[in-house]
Amino acid sequence: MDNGADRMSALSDDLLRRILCFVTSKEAASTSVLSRRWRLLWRSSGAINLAVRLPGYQPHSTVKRPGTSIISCQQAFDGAAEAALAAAEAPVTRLTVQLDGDTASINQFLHRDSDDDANMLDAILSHPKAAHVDYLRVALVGHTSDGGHFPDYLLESAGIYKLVSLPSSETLRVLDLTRCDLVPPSPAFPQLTTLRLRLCSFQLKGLQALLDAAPGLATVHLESIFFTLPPPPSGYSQYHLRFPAVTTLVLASCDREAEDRHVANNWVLEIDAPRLRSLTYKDHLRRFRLRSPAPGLARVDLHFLRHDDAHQRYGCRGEDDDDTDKETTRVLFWQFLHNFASARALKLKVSNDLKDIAANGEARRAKLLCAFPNVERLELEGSHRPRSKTAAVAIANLLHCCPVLRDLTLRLSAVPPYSLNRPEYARPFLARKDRSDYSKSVDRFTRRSSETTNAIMEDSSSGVRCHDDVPDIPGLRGRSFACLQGSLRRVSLQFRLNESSSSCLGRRLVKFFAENAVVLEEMCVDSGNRRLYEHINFNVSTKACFEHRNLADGSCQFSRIPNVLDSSADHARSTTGFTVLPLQRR
Amino acid sequence: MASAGSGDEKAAAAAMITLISSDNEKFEVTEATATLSQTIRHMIEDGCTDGGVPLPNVTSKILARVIEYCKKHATAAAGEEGSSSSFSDAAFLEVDRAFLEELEEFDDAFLEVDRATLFDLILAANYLDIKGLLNLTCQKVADSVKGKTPEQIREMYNIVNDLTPEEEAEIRRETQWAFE
Repeated sequence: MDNGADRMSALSDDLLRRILCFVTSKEAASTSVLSRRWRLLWRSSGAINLAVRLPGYQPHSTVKRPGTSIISCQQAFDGAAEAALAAAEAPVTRLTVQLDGDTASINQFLHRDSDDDANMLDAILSHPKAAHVDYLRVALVGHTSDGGHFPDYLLESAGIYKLVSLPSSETLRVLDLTRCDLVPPSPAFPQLTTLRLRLCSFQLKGLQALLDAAPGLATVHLESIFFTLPPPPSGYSQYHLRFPAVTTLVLASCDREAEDRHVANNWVLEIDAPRLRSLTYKDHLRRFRLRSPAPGLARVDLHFLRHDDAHQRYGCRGEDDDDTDKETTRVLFWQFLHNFASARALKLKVSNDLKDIAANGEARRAKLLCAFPNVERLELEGSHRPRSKTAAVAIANLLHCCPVLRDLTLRLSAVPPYSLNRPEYARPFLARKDRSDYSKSVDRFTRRSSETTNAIMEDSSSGVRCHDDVPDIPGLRGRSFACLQGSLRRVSLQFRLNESSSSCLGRRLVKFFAENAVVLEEMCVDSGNRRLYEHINFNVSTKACFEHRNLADGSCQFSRIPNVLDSSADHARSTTGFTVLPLQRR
Repeated sequence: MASAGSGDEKAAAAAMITLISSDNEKFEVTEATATLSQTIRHMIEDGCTDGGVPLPNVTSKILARVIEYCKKHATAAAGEEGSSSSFSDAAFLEVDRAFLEELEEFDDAFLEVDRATLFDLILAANYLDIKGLLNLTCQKVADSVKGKTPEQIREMYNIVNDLTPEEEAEIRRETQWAFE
């Protein structure tokens, strides 16, 4: 029987060394007692991985006199580092240092009191055996004292350690730093292809100098970078970064130092990356510009975070300003998207309500919408109020922009994520409106659910019973979309059926796509707990009919009944049917 | 733009390669997918892929998994190569262009295999020289020994201890820091 137990010993020494690259040096060294073969293997793995988990902050000790447990951690760490470096027989190519603990402990651990003691991290990095490292990761992973992860708004204390020199810069291929700043001037990085920086602070000039020092840089992750700056002139200021050779760029939660919170977001982020192919942006919606066209930009993944502090900043203003803010969100959103005309795959996650991005009305559409002539794959995730019609408008806007869309994923949730904290939801007017909407929807739901029950009962007795009680979607009705006519083959829908009327939009979308997507081949539906067939149990206006249901995997087959009025050309393009499958949960 | 690629480029990007597993099953893949393997890339460069590429060390079961990995990662890698030829209509054939986050999820799910399969994947990745897959699978094995004592690792992987007690004691003295 091959359960894989003996397979480790069958691997070559090279492969065993490769495995040893991924464990800490301490664990690697302990494999020396496994057997004769393992005795010296770890010494030639070419990797030094140092990790220490620090005990919690000790309030009674000070930075000047670290607690005994921190001291013993320091001693153990130094001993391991020294021994691992001394034992290394092959040139060290991979060096990682990871400290886990709260900020105060890490500070105690790193900054020792005796001045004559050479700085520990720098001593490791400048060890002769570490002179040719090609993969370097230094992660000073901070936690707040309550054990939670370091929150973004504490960016001010990013970069709690300053790396003065990187002797291995000549050979570095991958540089990965968390909360660890590089002191300028930046050395040359002729081999560097991947740069990952998390929770670091930089002057814009310093970061640009680092990027310029690495001409071969292809992948850059900048996460929670805090730009320290000389105070900018008043009004909007531009932050321009050049990435000449970069093909993959991740920008997440970057912020800048601002003396005035009120103007904290009055800045434009301008990126010059002509060879970019994949962009991930996870941050607040802000002014963003791609300076030069990036014709190869194929994948764009945008996750717009909500301004958590928006209500604090704007809460004191009047209602008119609130409307202005919403229009600003809408304009910023579409202006942001205008940069990506070449994209082939677009993923949008909006923390705002979907209605905030919907462009309603001819004039607004003409002003805001842009064309994505190449987008084949679109994913939209966002929330909407249960009875909102405007969310569908946002979906229609995007369908309109993507004439060759093949694969559409919609992840919808009916409850706005921060609704409870938002002052506008507490306004008496809305409360009244909600109440009347709610009673109406409960009324409708009561009627509908009894109908549905009947339908299902009939269904189980007669085999096939179709009924059509699902209304059309105002935002999507009566329009023609190029992608529905010729390209859309796959639709995935995720929605929640927990609240009374929240099923509406999801159910309506299922119906809409079943009826209108002419070449649809597959529809995947995840509607929470209920069974799939409860949502597709309707007559799709004679174009499709329910043919086969597989209860085991919840899938259904639909076949289209040719409409006699269709032209023959349409027939040739139409598929003969499509499959409905449960959507894979992620 | 997408339609601007020359005919030659399209032909090159759309070229199909046939891979033949040890049990003689044939797999047709795009060149973009196949060249994630440095071994196959070199064979293509040497022009010896006509009539298929026999892979006598890889079973059809494992080859299917390896191809699944390569398909998912092919376009991501194409980006890193920075070649402009892959940006053409031929890419239309591969709708499955993954986003970074999605790739990570894919990798996690991909590694949900039994131990025997995991080692087969390591050997295949090594033979085909697919660096990403090799690192991914080796990391998975490394994770399985993390936090384990030597005794536990021996038991887990049937490693026979052929050291005498004296030798073992000596090694423990030499690397005492690792056992504290």
